[in-house]
Formats: sequence, C-alpha cells, structure tokens
Amino acid sequence: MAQEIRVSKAGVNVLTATDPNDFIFHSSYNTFKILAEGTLLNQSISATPTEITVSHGQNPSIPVVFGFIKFPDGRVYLPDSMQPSTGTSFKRDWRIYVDDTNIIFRVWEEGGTYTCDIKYYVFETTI
Amino acid sequence: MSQKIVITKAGFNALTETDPDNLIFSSDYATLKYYSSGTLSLSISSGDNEDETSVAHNLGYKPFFVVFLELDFSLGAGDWACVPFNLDDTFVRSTVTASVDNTNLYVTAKTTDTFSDIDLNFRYKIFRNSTGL
Repeated sequence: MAQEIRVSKAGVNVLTATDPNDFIFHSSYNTFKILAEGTLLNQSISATPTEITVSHGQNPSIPVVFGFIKFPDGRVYLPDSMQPSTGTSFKRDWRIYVDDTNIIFRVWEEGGTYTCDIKYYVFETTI
Repeated sequence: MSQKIVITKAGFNALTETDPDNLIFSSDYATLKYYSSGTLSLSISSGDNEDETSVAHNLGYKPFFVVFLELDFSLGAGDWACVPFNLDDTFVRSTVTASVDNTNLYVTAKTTDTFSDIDLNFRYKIFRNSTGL
C-alpha cells in the first residue's frame, strides 16, 4: 500500500476523507510553491507607460507570476486594475508581463506623476 | 547542515532532488495559506457611474487575494471571470476592480458613461499571506 502524509482540517477524519479541500496538506497533491517574491517600493510613474523590469531568476523557463500594486490611495490592487477616479475618468492602470528572463511591470500615468509600490511573486511551474 | 522537509513526486529522490517541479512539498518554499472565502453582491442603479461594496477581513495588513465575477450579463450564469474585468469600446470604458486595505476587501464598478440596472455577483478568496504593501 502506498504511504501518504495527510493533515486534515479539524473535524475531518484524515483516514477516510477524500475531498482535497478537507486537507491542510496531502502528499498526493502538489503544492503551488512560491519560488521567489520581492517588493519594489517608491516607483516613480512619470511616463505612460513606465516600464519596470526585474529578473525572475528562472531562465530559461517562463514561470507563473503574480503581483499587486499599491496606488496613492493606499489600497492594493490586482493586475490590470484601472484605478477609479472621481467623475467619469480613470487615473491609473497597470499590467504584468513575463518572458524567459524578466518580469515586466507596465504602469500607466494619466494626470500626473505619482509613486507606487509593487509586490510580486514567482510561482512554481511554467506558463 | 540545515534541516528541511521535502516530499517528492513518485520516482524522485527526496535527498537529492532540487527541481521544485518534482517536489510535492519543500520547506524551502512558501505556499499560499487560505484565510477566508465568500460571496459578494453589488447592486448598480441606472445612471450610476461608480458603485462599490466591501467585506471585512480585519487582518490588519493588506493580504494576497483573488476575486471572480459572474458573467451572467454576457456569458450566462455559472461563468466566472477573473477580476479586474474591463470593457472598452470607442467611447466608453468600464471596469470592475478589486482592492484591499488593512481592513476590507472592496469591489468597485466604474464606467466613463453610466450603468444600467444590474446586480453583479462575486466570489473571493483571501489568503493569510501579506503583500507587505
């Protein structure tokens, strides 16, 4: 019989449970590992778009990447978020790109220079 | 020598394997940790150009999160799209975004024109991982 390491959630019988969502950890299910993460603080956005590049360290693979941005309103946004403005306009936008060497953040400035903070994650597995 | 916990995929040697793709778990690598999940609804009234709703997470920091929007207005109920969800045509830009602060998760619908009456349904996942922002 194959051996497994299982940790179930409280109240779930670790020996009989079969739903992956009932496990904190199960050695038969791969975990989505974070290989690297980083923070880019006080990035000046003065052009449309401003391009910020960091090496992801997985060359020649193209890894799954993700990130968040803190706009000047203090909130943290998902990629491709256009920050709502007042009235009927949008102030800011940003996207994440990845190639075999770098993560590229493109951040748009509409209506004036500002600074932002970016958090990024490099995950296991290639896209 | 530092100690670690390594569980490999079948057929790999846990003592020597270094490729993370061949590991089920390694204490060298962090993972996302679930905190909460749920649903949110946002009722938009005709003539509005911005509406927002929120749910408290009360983590005291800005966490890793993801949000999905049900596309019952375009693809039909039961189809979900990653947020943000942007619509553009020549004259109108509309977007549904999600954001967090230290207390709440927000979903915001915004258009450069005006909305018609519509109810938007969301599902969200919040992780314990802090963005540190």
